[in-house]
Amino acid sequence: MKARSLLLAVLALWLTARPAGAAELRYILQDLRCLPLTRSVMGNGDCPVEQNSVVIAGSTAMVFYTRLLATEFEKRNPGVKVEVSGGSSIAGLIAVDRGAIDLAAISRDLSPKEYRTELKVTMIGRDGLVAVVNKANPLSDLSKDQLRAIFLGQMTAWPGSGHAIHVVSRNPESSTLQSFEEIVLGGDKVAEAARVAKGSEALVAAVSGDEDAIGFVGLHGLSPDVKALTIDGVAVSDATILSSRYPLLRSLNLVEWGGEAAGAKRRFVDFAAGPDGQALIEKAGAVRVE
Amino acid sequence: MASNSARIGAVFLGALIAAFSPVAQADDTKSVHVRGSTIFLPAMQVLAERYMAEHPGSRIVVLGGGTWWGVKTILDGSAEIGMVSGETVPDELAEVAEDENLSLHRAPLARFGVVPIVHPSNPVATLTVAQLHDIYAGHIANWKEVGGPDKPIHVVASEDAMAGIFQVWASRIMAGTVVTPVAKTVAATQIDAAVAADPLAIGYNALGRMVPSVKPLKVGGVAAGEDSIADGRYMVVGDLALAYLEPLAPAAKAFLDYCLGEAGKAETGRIRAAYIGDRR
Repeated sequence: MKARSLLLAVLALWLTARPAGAAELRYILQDLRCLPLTRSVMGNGDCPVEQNSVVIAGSTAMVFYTRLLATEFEKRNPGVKVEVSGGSSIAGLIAVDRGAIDLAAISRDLSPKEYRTELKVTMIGRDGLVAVVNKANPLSDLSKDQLRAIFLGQMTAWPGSGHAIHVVSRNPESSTLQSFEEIVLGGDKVAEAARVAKGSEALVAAVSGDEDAIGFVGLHGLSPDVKALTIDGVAVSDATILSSRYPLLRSLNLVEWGGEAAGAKRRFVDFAAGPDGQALIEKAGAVRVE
Repeated sequence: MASNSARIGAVFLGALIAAFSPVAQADDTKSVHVRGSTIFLPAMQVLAERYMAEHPGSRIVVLGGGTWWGVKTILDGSAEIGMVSGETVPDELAEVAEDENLSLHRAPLARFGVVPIVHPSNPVATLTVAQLHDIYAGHIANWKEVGGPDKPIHVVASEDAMAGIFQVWASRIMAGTVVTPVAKTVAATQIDAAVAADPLAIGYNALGRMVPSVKPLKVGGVAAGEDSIADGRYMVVGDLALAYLEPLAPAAKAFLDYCLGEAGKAETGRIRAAYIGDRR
């Protein structure tokens, strides 16, 4: 109580001493009074009560990233709850359109038919995949269509040698497999004849031990033990992923309706797109875009 | 209690300093986000990669999406630079800019050509602007009238009024006349596929996106090319510009200048456009 009156006295003095900017200062003082720190000491008073949850839904492939961000965000913002759920990009977009959720987390870019003036799309990362073969394989490039044909079981022999292609895929729970089926196979499933490796290290081991093998890894799974193929003549790198020239990539986006300047949603988006959120994204295997 | 007051004092002082210091968050970032016209995309991708190689630590994030998206994303702050083709800002976005008191700046960078295209089996090789106008207005409906076989003309046009090729066609060929309602309208990037699939079709596409499955026509006897666009002989042209809001963050300003300078000059040929970045 004593602290509060002391502070008020200081403010009153300051206001009367500078009558010229009084109106302006009153706004600033209200802002100061309602800062999280001041609130924690002095209580909420007549500060507007902030929305204390953020509801996110959308692509299942995004859940991995948004959960990571949510956990750290909640740690830094006690009392704020971030609800994350999967489903699909399109369901997320519809839900955010109708105001049912705060943010749609989608693992692709919007198509022109989905453009709305009110939608704000914040890119929080870029994700890439790499097709790998044995180092003894003379092949160094495949088109995206050839890669698709190989993993659908439609192309079964290596061009040149004519050897049978040994397809190595990932375990069904793998998020890399989900990405691969989304980016390369357009939602189709890898052919059943494929050998399954559990984890990217196991996949690299399988491919490095078999001259006729082909597999795929996320950016962080790349190893000098295997050869990374260029796709449509473009080698994978952070630069070709950021420029959108590398074909096996996707954008990680948070989509909101309107772009309110304040609130838990805004702070979450700013956190995700800011240096600390981006460090988490990078650690999780994607390319930072901040 | 005394320590509590001191704590409040410290908080108060800290908050005061924070409140009165200039806001500089946006300027700290090293990344530049670029969105917009797909005509310009292949050149921008290479410019971005070159820039990142020459400026370690910089990040240029490029995405197409079309001119509308380029304008929209710089207005909402999700991008710094928009690749825009054509002159028009759509009403709904102009309104946003006005409401928020944002003024859009454009720096012209490249002049691109739009080329009439037909099926490779079509014997017609050149059309005048007047003939193209009449075909698209529906006044000429048979290939026979322009030196082709006695067969109907199937008009294919862009359904996206913001597409650069639509805008160029509307201003340089149609000059205000409405395209015939019997025209088939498809996405701007799908016109060549529609024309390649139909021996009686006519469409148009950007010179830089020409594919071997269609035949480009001359306009008034002039073939589109970087030279004929640059010297003004080829008339069906539009300007690609980089759009941005002032004040531009330092990282974005540096990349914009890079694009408008020698590097941009070297890469606009990639989309078979003429460099006009020095005509500001």
